[in-house]
Amino acid sequence: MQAERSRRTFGMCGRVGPGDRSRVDAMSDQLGGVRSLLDTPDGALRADAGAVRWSRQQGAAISWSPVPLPETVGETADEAALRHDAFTLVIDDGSGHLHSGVSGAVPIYVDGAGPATGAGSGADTAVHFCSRVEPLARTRAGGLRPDWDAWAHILAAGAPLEGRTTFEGIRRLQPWSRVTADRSGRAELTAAGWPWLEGHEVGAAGAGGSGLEAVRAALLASVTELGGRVALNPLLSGGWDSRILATLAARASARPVTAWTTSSDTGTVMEELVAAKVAAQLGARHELVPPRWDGFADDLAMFARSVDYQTSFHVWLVPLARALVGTSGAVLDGLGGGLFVGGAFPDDDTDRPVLDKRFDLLARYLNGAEAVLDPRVVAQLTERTRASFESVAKPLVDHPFGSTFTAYLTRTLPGISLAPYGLMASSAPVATPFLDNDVVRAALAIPPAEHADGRLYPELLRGIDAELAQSPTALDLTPRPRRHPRRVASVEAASHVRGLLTREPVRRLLAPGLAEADLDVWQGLLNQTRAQHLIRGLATLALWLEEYDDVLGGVGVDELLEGTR
Amino acid sequence: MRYERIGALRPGHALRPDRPVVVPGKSAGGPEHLQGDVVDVLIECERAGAATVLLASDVDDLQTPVAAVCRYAAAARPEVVEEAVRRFGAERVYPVESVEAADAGDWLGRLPQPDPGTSRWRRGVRTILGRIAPNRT
Repeated sequence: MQAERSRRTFGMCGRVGPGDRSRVDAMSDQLGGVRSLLDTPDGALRADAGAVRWSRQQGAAISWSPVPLPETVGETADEAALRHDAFTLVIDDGSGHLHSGVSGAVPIYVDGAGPATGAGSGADTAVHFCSRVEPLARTRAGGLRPDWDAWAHILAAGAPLEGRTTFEGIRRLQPWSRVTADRSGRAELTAAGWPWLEGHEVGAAGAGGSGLEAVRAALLASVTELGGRVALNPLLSGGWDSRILATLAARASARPVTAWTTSSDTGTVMEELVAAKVAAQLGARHELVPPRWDGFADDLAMFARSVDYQTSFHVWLVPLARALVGTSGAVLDGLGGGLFVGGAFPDDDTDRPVLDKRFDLLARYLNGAEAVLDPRVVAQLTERTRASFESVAKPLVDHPFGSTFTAYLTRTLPGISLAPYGLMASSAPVATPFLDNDVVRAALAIPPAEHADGRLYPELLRGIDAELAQSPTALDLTPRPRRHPRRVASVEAASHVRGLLTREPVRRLLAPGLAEADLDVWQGLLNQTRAQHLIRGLATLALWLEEYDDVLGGVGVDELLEGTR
Repeated sequence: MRYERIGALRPGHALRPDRPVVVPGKSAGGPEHLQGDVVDVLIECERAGAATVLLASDVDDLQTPVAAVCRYAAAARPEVVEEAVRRFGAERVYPVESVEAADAGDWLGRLPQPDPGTSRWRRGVRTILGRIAPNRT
């Protein structure tokens, strides 16, 4: 974690339940040295400047978020989670309680808690937690083993499902999780009662009038409250989510706002051009940070490290993360907007079973995967991913926003969220206003059909900036075929990933003949979305095996070939 | 080969995918920032599929927002070519004898020609299948 340490000391770590301080101290060192805010027999917490300590009658409480919190976060841990998406450690007499945020988008990993169930599950040990996987892994007393189900999910769907991580036993907390541990050494983890899924009237309001106005007002309140405390740095692409946030930031900020753009490497520069137009219309300063072709290998390595090797979705965002190192203002990211406002990932209108439709959408990278992977690996990825997908998706089949929450829990949270809260958060404070509790609740009050095809976006923005609401997005303007050369498919990038993937043991997972194929074959694959995804995932696996070779002891990849579960 | 000069274009100009648009670097008086008509013209280039080609006289020409959105770059001085390759990649950079816009017709024919019926990746897939299949049997 040396590279991150040189940029910014960030994150938090601690313990719920009885234990000594040595492991928490060691995790803090791994993070770069975060200050001790609480150290009791029932729990400990060390955190960066994003934390606030608050008092309650029963005992101490500390809340933390990747963006600095206000001095008052609420009267209870639940309130801190609902109002600020904050994590809170509460110490009562004889027990400690860790509450995760309402969105679950900020990754907090735990060791010692076991998988969460709605009813709660137990483990006979203290639970250690951290905002990064690596400190937990490197301070673990027992041996480390790869979680091959998680790796199957990363390759097939983009990120581990069910709160898994690349290591067995280390889990990511799900939304609205609570970990409780007492002096007997008994730890309980539950994720029941998530307010976004339960306890309110879904689809009760129409989009017209009060429904959309409530979304607009909640977004405005969220960005304005944040802008009152910190400077704002909106990321700006050519799409709706970032346009809305940049517009709100320009309105909320007393100082001139800078909007930040890079190439999404999708074969067009329309994103950069439309972003420049939008920034000019807002009167905002515009910083375009292009990728360097000779920087691909470093960017891939930095991304993988920053997200703890859990996903490979957003390597292209690294140039912006580098440019924003040390920025004190909060980076605004549009995470969640596409799902909760834009209606992304809807069910198709075929009469296939709902679970099949949703699984095929999530694991679409497996379609044609035999061009990259050994057929036995494709079978393993399909089987392992489908099993875990069903455990998440089955309870959502009949929910009015079932497709939305399925995509949120199987794609947005485990994978996409790591772009803002893994990568960008290693450079600067980060906020995601579309995941504000009031915004999501207001959006869910609008019936699902009214979200379709992003039709709410222009109306949502019209109430703030009528001119921008009428301006086309990059997607509206982008022609087919996309002719701009992609960095990921360049000679430079293809040479690098071929080098990574043709080393043992990852080489064994490749399609027959691919390891020996010429570079232009690799470039052809990298120019296809699905094959590129698989190759990025395999490259991430290769980097992970290299990074943890000292603790994994030369582990092989046979379980992805043979299925020796 | 026929081509357009960005300085002569205004929004609404009809552009063609087979007719590149040359973009002088800022050191030669070309556009530096993505603002005003320059953005609209570049958007129309992108919509039409017309290749934009930066004419880089100096290393500084490679570092502007306009340079960042050009599809290719041409340079004559070795140090500019080397830096362009580092920034844009070997496949996007064309070493040329002169970066004068008036001379561009001499070398623009070296650019990849648009093939509206077959995109590059589709050709790549055919190549892959053709090469891998024999190894599987």
